[in-house]
Amino acid sequence: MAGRVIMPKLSDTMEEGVLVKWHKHEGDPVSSGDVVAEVETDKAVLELEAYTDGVLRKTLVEEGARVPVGTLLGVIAGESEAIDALLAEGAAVAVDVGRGERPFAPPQPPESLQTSVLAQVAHLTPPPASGPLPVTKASPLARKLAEQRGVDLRTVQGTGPGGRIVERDVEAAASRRSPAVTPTAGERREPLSLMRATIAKRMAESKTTVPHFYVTTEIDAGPLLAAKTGFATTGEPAIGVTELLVKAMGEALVAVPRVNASFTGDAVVFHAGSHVGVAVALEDGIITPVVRDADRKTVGRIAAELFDLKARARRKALKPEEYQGAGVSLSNLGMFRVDDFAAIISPPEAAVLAVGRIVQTAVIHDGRVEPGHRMRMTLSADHRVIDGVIAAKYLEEVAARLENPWQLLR
Amino acid sequence: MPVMAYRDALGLALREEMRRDDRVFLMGEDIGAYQGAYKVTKGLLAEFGSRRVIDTPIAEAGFVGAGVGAAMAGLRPVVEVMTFNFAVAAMDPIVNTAAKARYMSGGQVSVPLVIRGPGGAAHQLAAQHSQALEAWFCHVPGLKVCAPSTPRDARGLLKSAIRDDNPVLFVEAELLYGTTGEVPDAEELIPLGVAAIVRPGRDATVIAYSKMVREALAAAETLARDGIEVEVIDPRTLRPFDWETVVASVRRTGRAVVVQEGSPFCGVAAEIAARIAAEAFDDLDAPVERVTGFDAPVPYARPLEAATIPDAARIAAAVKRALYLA
Repeated sequence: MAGRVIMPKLSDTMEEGVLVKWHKHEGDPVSSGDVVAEVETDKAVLELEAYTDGVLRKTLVEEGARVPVGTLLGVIAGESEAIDALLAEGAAVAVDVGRGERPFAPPQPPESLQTSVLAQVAHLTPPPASGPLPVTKASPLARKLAEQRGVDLRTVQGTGPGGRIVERDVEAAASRRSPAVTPTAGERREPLSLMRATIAKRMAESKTTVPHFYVTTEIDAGPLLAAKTGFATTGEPAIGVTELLVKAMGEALVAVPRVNASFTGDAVVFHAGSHVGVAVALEDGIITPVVRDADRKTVGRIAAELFDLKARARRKALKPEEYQGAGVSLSNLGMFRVDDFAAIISPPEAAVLAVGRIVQTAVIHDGRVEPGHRMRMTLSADHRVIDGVIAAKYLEEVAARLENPWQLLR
Repeated sequence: MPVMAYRDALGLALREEMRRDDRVFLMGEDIGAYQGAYKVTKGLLAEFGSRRVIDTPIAEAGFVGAGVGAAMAGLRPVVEVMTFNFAVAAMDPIVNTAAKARYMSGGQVSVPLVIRGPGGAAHQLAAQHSQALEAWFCHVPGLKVCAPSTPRDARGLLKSAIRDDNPVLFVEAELLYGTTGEVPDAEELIPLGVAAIVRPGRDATVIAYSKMVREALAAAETLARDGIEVEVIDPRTLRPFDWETVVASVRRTGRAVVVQEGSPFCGVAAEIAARIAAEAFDDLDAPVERVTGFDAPVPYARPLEAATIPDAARIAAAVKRALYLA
């Protein structure tokens, strides 16, 4: 029984995908369940699995090619089976999954394929170890209403059992948004990308369900500036404030392990290893790659890793394990005209450190006013896990290290 | 409009039909000289005589079977079972003969028979005499099943049942016989298979029949005080069932609660719930709720018996669950 290998449609926003790699080549025997190819969508990397046995008789798309959803990529068939008809049919296969009213529905495998999700945009959501994309649970009426009112269910917080989105949730979402619903002249409506929708949902969930509190300090940034300037001449990849912050934050997690924890409802889970996430701005959103065991790595190694992680983050080529599992994250807007800000915690992490720019200002030193440099940092903490004193201690541990940056180079 | 008791409305229907058509006659235990265990047939022996109001021995399989034969032969018998618990003894003539004759004879033989009597629990009649068995009959193709809740419906439906050319199981309720309601002076036929919206509402649809309609209306009254407007639908006939009215209502309200007195497994409510889930799926905001008796024999002890039979409080709680308010 011959089967087609087809570019799957993962989300309602996906119109084309890139064939990253053929894992099987023409003439290779294929068993049901074998990974035939790897496909990159706008935000995800998928493995395409065969579900028929046979031989990969024909590959029609070259590695690296970008093709529309539904395109016939290859044909699996018996060794001597006729496949001309299949080839002639080409891409005339309707692939319609993940329709608008069913965002996040698991991709329905077209015919001969089963897709398993390797990576996905939901970097803020700890996804299951394997299996399909999370399904948005909503009552049928809620789905219908959402479609009629143009409400994206991915942005709605459900209040029914198990988080089911019910009629009242859609009504509430529609009425919250309704003043701006009617597009006036000059306005432009941009449907949510998967990433934007995920950020919208997860951040709203965090800010409304995680009890945030904030502690702020100002550090003497003179030594940090000196260190940064010193490193700037020592080659690529450059060591900057971010790299020193990651190292300091990793060490501080060891000093104050209570911060390196997650709230799970009935327990606090303490993480093994001091992993620090770093928010990286993308064209439409943000992703937070993780530097593992930041306390045990040299600043140079951290810089090299971050350089690679950021580059791949911008190409959307991060693996899930590379953007999950941080104990604490860093959001640094110091390169902008931002003196201080408070970030939203990204669960299951219990804290996030927001860092502003270094400013030159008058400081008091030994009772005299002198020119100096200062930098402000605000730690947002989840009060279910971290109390004020713990947050203060952690901030102090980070600050002390940044004020003696050369110690971080050991 | 005159007000009369449910039992008298049934008696009125019998009298009207017997006067209209001399093929109509009655059979059953104690329906003549004693005027019926629940006095439904009061005065009929005096008016129509012992050829048309026949007291039978306590032998359901025999007199129900005789009714089936009389119907086949061209009469229009109305057979009273003292309660539907005793109709179990007559399942063979009902299921194997009455329900099948028209089909197996290619339409040559029909069975215009009505079997009527009370179903369900009353007060402390114990497990053998408290069963709501209508689902048994609903399950059989070839039978029609009525379960009216008001005197007006009882009279109008019984007249239609007597005029129907198919066997009709007409399920009344002991606790309804004394209830009263308006019944028009003029002759009124209520067609089989047409539901009634007995209370309009926008928030949830409650489907209930026979004496459960009264509980559903009481629940609706309570819920209205909290601003919850429940639509109560009485299907009146269980087979054929008026799906159109029920599905249209659920499409409006988005929530459905189905009530039946009998035990839940394979019950009438299960069939209604399944059909709603299939036909109103896109309009449901919550799973269809069922409120039923327990999956156990009905207890004799009064508090236990009361606990097993659905009441207004349980129906109101189910409506609140369907509205995510509980």
